[in-house]
This record gives sequence, structure tokens and C-alpha cells, in this order.
Amino acid sequence: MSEQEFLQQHAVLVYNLALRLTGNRADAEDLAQDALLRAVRALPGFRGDSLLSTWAYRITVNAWKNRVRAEKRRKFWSTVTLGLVSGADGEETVHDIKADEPALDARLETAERSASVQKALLQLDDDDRAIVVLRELEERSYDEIGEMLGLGQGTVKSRLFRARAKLKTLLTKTAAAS
Amino acid sequence: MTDETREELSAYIDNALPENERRDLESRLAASAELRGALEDLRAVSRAVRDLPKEPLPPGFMVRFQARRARGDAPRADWVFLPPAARPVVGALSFGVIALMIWSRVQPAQEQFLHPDEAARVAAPGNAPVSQLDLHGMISGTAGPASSDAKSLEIAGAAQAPERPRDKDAVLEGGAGAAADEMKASAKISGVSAVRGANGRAAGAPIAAPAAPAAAAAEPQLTDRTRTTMSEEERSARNEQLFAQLEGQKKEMGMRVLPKGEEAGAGTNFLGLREPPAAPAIRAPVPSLLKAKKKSGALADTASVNSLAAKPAAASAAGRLAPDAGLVFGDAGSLASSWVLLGLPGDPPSFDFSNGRVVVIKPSSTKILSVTPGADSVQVVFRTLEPDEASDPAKDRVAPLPSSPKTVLIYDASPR
Repeated sequence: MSEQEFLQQHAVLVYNLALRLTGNRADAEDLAQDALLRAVRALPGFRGDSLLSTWAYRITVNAWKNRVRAEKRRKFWSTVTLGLVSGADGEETVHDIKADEPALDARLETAERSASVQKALLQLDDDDRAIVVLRELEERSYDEIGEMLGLGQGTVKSRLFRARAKLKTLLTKTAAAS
Repeated sequence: MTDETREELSAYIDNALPENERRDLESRLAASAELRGALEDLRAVSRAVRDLPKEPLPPGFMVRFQARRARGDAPRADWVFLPPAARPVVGALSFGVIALMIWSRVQPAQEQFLHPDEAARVAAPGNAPVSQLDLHGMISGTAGPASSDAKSLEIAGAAQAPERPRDKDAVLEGGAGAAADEMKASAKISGVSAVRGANGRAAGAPIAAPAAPAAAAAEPQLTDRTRTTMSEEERSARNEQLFAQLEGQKKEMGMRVLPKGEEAGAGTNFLGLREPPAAPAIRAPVPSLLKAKKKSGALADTASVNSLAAKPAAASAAGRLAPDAGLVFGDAGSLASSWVLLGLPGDPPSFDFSNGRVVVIKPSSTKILSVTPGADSVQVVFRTLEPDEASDPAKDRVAPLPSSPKTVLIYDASPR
């Protein structure tokens, strides 16, 4: 498969996965472009051990996990160094990947509902969010999810259940509030 | 409903249950409205997420992507401080530096315990009498419990002092001429010695040999601290220098190795005389004896022995000059270091060194009886303790002396 074909088939998938993982378009585009750059570079070495989409998802998830870790480190050091890294008043300057940005589907009829779901997703742990996204949006099997995230199948199963239970609680609260 | 059941429900909607578990759960679902309600809740959650709309790529996404490719932009670095490839190297270097720092701190200081000869020099304050060093040299062979029994010194008339191994016993070969002959002819005693004052003016000048004060003055003032901060080479060179000086002094004093078995006063730490004179007077040291000593020949100890031995009346007395001598210290550090070197138990007693010095009497079971400042000397009298006699080792071995340039005479008043 040529690079062009790969990009045509998988750029949207990668972008949407990045969108649900990061929760905002700016970070999603940055993450998706990073993942696609890595994928294009590694494409000649792809041996076809898995579906190309699974391979692209794995690259995207790995890039996102690395980014989450790096962001956590930056947050830590910005907290430690206080005004040296952040503002003089110690205000946090590291971008929060869970920031509650404007609803993704504001122009759609189901905007409110989608926004609530997206907000609830962002309240999950990083790994739990990735599991839910890969399972519900990308319809990946437990094995595939476990392989992408470095987790066992049993762990994926139990964490997926836990994430769903938490989502139910969050969505119920949102519905009650509205 | 247990969490295990809920987890089974979650896997059920994903078709991730084994066939037998799926059938079992379906039978339970058919029988339980609660289970069916929980299943519907999970499905609703799943649908809510799945219903999130798929978004198209933002306008210009591919243009920006191709622009990044064209610029050759690398994917954003995921590291903050160091690239992953550099981490092992930096980690190893950091570990090495930390290990080196720890090692340099925990490394035992070499040669912290100085050779007794050096300890005497180190311990000696700037105004310390040179004779201290001489005296210490006399007893250096007796320092330490391991070698105490086999160590002795011998005063002889011979002028030459043969080369001897550093750790061998020492022999003090006395002054020349008639004094030595007279000493040889005298009766054996357990030993004789004298600690001389700082002025070096005392009779029997060889101990306070002219070269010694000059050498001492030329040497830098060393403390235990400065010695431990010396490099290995500096310390070694310094040790050799001190040893050579000490050897010279000993040679000048006529000290040599006493063959095993010939040591006088075997079983004690006392210095021995090859042919010690008869026991001189001691209970009440006679000033005339001291004066006579000062007027005598070149070697102080020999002169003392000769003078005392020449007095028949004194020979009948119970005491005698103690050849073991002692160490005169002018500060607590010197006392403490020599206390350890001599293998004395416990901690050395504390004294006000601003008002006086301290004499350490080395024999293990001795008691200081008196310290008497005289007109020309300071006399310290001690005796051997009885087997059943209680003793405070620290106090009995140490006594303060007034700071004085006078000759310090140490007498052993132990019954023979």
C-alpha cells in the first residue's frame, strides 16, 4: 500500500481516535499528525502481522500514551518549579489534555448529549478512556485492545466494565442536573 | 448483584464471554429482571459512546500534514529532559559520580593511627620539650599491648648504635667514657629514665641533643587533622622523614635492639638496663641526687643512674627511677591519641591543660603516688598496685603536672 492510499484510508480513523482520546480538536490534530508521520515512516517496514488499521491505531495510542506521560512530567516539574516554569504567580501553564473545551458537536441536534458523553469520557482514567474508545468507537476486540495498551485480556475486561459503570454514573448525574 | 456478574454483563454485550458462560448468563437474565435492567443500563452507556459522531478531518489537515513532512519535522518528542537513547549513558554517569562521592566519604582514612614515634611528634605542641620525643622514642618499643612484654631498652656504654628494624626492641646505649663503665658495673634495677624539661638545659644533654630542637623548629606544625588530609605520597614521605629523624636521635642516644631474652624487667613495660644499678633512693627524692644528676655526664639517663647508684644510702631506699618514663602532653588531643596507642582502657581523663601538663605512666597496674614540684625538677612517684588493690586506671596512670621547663623525674616506688 502506498503512502497516499494509507493516508486516504486511515487519516480520518486516526484523527477520530485522537479526538476521542484527547477531547479537543487542536490536540487531536497534533496527535493525529504525529501518529501519521510515525506511521508513514514505518510503513515500509509493516509486515502485515495485523490489520493495517489496528497497526495505525496502535501507533496512535502509543503516541498518545507517550504524550500523556510527557504532559504529566511537565505538570510535575511545573508544579515543583512553580513560578520558574509557569507564570510568576505560579499559575499552571501546561495544557490540560482533559480541558473541558467547547462541545465537539455543538452544531448538531444531539450536541448536548454528545457533549455530555465526551465530558464524561474525559473524566475517565487515561487507560480506561482508551479502552472505552477503542472498544465502543473502533470496535476493537479485547485482545487487540490489550495488545495496543499492553494490558492482559482480563484486565481489559474488568477495566472496561469499571469504565462503563463510571460513565453510567456520570451520565446519570448529568441527566439529573439537566 | 455482584461486581463479577456486572463484569459478565459488560463482556456479554461485547460478545466476549465463552459459550458456556454466555448460556449460563442468559438463563439467569431470563430469570432476573434486575439483571436485565443492569444489562440495559450498560447497553445504553455503550450506545451513548458509540453514537458520538465521527468527524471529518479539519479543513487543511492534510495540507498541514504534508507541510510538516516537507519540512522534515520529526514527531513531537515525548521526552522532557533527555532522549531515551541518552538515558542509560547519563544514568550510568550519574551513578558513577554518586558512587564516587559516597566512596570518598566512607573510605577509611589511611594511617589515622600513627606510628608511636610519629604520634609523639604529632602530639607534641609547638613548645613541647624536645625531650618528650626522645623519651617517647625510648619507650616506643613498648607501645601497644601486643608487644609490651617483649619490649625493653638497654642503657649501655657503647657509643655506636647499630641499625635495627623499625619494629624491633630498642636498646639505649648510654654515654661514653667512665659514666658508661660505671653504669655497667652497677647492679641491675628494673630501669631508669627521666623525662626532661622543655628548656633542654638539663644535664645529660644528649637526650636534648642540639640537632633535635632545630629539627623540631624547622618542621611544620602538624596536627592529626593536617596529617589525615595529606595525600598518600605526602604522608609516606613525612613518615619516612620523621622515622629517619627518630632513628638519628635514637642512634645519638645509643639505643639499639635488645636481643630477646635479655630484656630487663621482663613481664613489665619498663625500660630495661643491661646492667642497671642498685635501687636508688626514691621515697623522698633527694635534691642532692638531682643536682648530682644535672652535673653528671652527657647522657641524662646514664647520669641519673650513675649519680643515684653512687649513693649507697640511696640504694637502700625502696624506690628507684622508673625507666619506663611517661609521656608529657600539653593538650587533650595528644593525650587522647597516645592513650589509644598505648592500649589504655577507657577514655583518658580530662585536664585543664592551660594550667598544667599531664604525665601518663605506662605500666598497666600502677598508681601515681605523688607529684612533687621541686626546685630543679618535678618528681612523679608511682608504684605497682597490689593484686587485690582497687584501682581507677585512668586516675592512677595520669596526673597533672604544672607546666614547667623543669626536668620531670619519674620514680617507681614499687616494692621489689
